[in-house]
Amino acid sequence: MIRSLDHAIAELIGPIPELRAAVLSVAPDGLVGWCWSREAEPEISLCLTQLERAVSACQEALGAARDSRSLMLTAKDTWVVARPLRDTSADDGQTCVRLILTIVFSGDLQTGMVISHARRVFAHLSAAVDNASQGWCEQLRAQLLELVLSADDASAMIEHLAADAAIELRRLDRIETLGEQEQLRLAAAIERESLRTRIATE
Amino acid sequence: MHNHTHSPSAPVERPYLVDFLIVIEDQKLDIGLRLWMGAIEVGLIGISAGRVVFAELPGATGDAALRLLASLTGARLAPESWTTRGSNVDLQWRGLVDEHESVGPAVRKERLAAARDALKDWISSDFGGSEDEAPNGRAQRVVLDLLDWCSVVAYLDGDLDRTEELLVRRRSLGPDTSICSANLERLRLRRLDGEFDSTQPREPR
Repeated sequence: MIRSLDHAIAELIGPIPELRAAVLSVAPDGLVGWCWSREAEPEISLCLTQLERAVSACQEALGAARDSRSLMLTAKDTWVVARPLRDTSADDGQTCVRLILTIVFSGDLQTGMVISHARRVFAHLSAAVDNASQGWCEQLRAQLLELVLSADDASAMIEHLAADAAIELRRLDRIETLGEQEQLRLAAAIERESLRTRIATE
Repeated sequence: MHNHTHSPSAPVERPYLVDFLIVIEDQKLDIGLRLWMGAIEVGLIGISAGRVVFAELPGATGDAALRLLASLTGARLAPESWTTRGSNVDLQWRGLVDEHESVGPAVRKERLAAARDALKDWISSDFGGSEDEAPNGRAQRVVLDLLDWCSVVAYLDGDLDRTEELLVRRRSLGPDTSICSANLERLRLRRLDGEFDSTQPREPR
């Protein structure tokens, strides 16, 4: 998933030169799920999530409707735009867990252009998240995770798995791009590895 | 986050892609150049005997990709060995120099000198430092990315125990990034808040 987001943002870096940073975080606590910045400054994501948390608390206190909350912060040549990428159902009436995308633009832009660029980035990353969250991807990811958690050497296990499935290692970065045959081979390799692990631990 | 520090550190003008292409053509090298913006890989250029033969970036290949990559003036470059993977570029890239640059001869000379120095370093280290291409580095990246994303999913599902388990595991397997540490700290604060709230009398809704 992380590489899918990298790949999606990479498609926008050239066409939108004013795009400076993007952060995918999870509200209400502002955990950072993924971030990119043009100047490789990951710490900026921590500042942005702090900002988003403060704004969320403020909107909550103001009683703003959850589905319409967004943020646009404007300086002379810098804009910060944030809004939920996706709401989840884990809403108990007090907290609303959701993915938030925060984007920073820098440069000579008018507000209208910022809104237009922001819409494009939201749509593009949202589609990437949806595409990488298909049921079969989630299932393979969950199975891979169990193997990783039970492995003594997780990297070696992943290398072995890729070789067993005859899939180039780098392709495991983006499971959603695997073809049907590759999915089947990976599922079979995972099954074999799970079996091997079970036998070894019994 | 990846750390690609192949660009020269001297306080001179940082060479752009086109500067490297000029020097590489002069030296008739076979080389691959991977381009990075921030921590993200944005493209690949293949050069055979000093001639650009291959270019790709997400969403474009060939001439269109080369034109877009040449316009990314802030990109960092990471070299790798190039073995022919086919050719998809017809564009005379020399035209890109004038298309994207309007610097004086002094700055150009400085950039070309910096590009020559960087190339010399790359070749003498046999392209050392391309850690992302090392199988073990790649496998570790797969593992860390998986743990990073699955911790987000667990949090979205409201499973704080699982989120913490995955973040702790992630920290034990890879470099202790400020982001992973900050996520753990926020998660622990949330749990403390939860414990505190559970000790308070509940207001009727």
